[in-house]
Amino acid sequence: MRDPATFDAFYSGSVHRLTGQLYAMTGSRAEAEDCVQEAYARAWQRWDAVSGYGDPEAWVRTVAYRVSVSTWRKAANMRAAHRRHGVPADARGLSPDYVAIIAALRQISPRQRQAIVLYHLVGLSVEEIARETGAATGTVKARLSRGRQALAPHLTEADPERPEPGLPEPGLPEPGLPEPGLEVRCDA
Amino acid sequence: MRDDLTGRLTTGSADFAATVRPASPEAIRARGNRRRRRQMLTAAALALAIGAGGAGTAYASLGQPGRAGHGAPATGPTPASSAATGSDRPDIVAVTAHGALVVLDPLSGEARRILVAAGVAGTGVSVSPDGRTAYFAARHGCQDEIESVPVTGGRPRMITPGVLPAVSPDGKKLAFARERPSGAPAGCGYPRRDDQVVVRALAGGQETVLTSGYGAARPVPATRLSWSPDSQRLLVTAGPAPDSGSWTLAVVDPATSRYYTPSVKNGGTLVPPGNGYYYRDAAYLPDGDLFVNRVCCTGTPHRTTSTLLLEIDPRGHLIHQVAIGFLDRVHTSLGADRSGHWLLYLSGPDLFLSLDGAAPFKLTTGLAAAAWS
Repeated sequence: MRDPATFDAFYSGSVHRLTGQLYAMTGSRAEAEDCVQEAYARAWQRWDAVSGYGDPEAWVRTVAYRVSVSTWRKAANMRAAHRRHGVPADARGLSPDYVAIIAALRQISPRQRQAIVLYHLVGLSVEEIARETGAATGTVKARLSRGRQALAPHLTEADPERPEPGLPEPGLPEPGLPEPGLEVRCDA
Repeated sequence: MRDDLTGRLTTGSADFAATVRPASPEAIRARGNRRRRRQMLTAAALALAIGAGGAGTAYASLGQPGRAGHGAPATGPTPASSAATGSDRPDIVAVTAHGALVVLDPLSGEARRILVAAGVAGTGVSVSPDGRTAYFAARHGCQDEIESVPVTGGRPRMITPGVLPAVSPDGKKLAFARERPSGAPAGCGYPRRDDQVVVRALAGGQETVLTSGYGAARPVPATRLSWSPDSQRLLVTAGPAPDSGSWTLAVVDPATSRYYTPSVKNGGTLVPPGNGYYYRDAAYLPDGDLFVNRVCCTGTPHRTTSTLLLEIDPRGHLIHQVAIGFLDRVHTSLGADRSGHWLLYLSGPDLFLSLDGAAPFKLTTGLAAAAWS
């Protein structure tokens, strides 16, 4: 019998943290939120089993990451188009330093990014990352090492040419127009 | 490097996490329950299909967009799942590409009854909650009139000038769009004016009028109206704005709002589209969630890069992806039947149905608008 109370407590206690971790792994707020919600829905679907696991949060994080990878594959062209626009508009309100880190993470491979986030943000050991990702410890070490190497040039002092976060999204109504709402440009 | 990167990631992620506004646990559990139900239905349909004709039958008959059904003429085969659930599929009222209003057989897609032979505008059709009356727009000279006709057949009755009829779930109100009168006759070579969204009491005829709020200099036409399950709020799709080409999707309370493209300032609620997306069509589901066509574009001039049929909650969070639409088509007439199990939408002229959000199949083609009866 699935217990809604234990699920709700688990969800409320972990959803912010997991969404933050997925954001670091995907670089997209919308994608992180979508994938985390999907993973929690799947967790509730089989809550009898998941609630008995030693670390349900790791289960949700793994599922959310797999969902995101699947979405990535389906929408690779769409994301490539987004990336051409530079810093994502959903970075508004975040510190320039964090925006720089997210932008740097987007420059390395997804597996390296996953390893970096699990190690540096989630705080897992190499052995724990190996268990969570299904990779050998040597592979995890290599991903961490190469990921950090690849990140290094992107994490130096602030780049004066980097666009500032908080720039208006394309399609936001021009100042002075009456009664504007949140709008997005389209193929008019 | 671990200390430096760990510190920066941890601090930044904590700041980010503080900005996350997650869906309620109840909504997540509901989403999980829907997944569970869908998987059970799919398993049952597959079992039936295998029993009826072999393992390939169900896959071959589903006619998913982007697969074998693309561009196929006329009616495709009935999906395997209909053997289990077809009997509870309601009729469909549709406007054909040639301007006739018809009742379609929900299993075969064939026209079962012609309600109006010609002159019906393809902007939209709506059926009363008791399933007895269809509301549509008919062109008379240079003006569109909202009319009603019994679904069993009968004489159409004029109601008022307008388009995009949407009758409320309680059957008491009719929402529609109307060009703002300004002394000159509408249409027929005259420039388009600012639109109004009107809510009319079906019993007494009293009207509440909402404007775009932009004025006649920047008309933003409403393109789709849908009532919330409690008949209190309207979901309004509006666009494209003539200057920016932008679209909005807003939840509007006609009792308190003056505008159908509201901003936070004037009490409206916009459904957030997410980074880079916009909504081209949307309708309420019976549980209060939304069935939407979310489109994404890029480049100058703008180019569509994705068009998805999705179930989302009113805050824009994804619940379920129903289908991937065709990039070169407009997806319209999104709607659900009263049970919420059957979804319907038009992809260009093709009518697609989906049971509980499972892979849609093409029922028929040659339509301009459609709605569940």
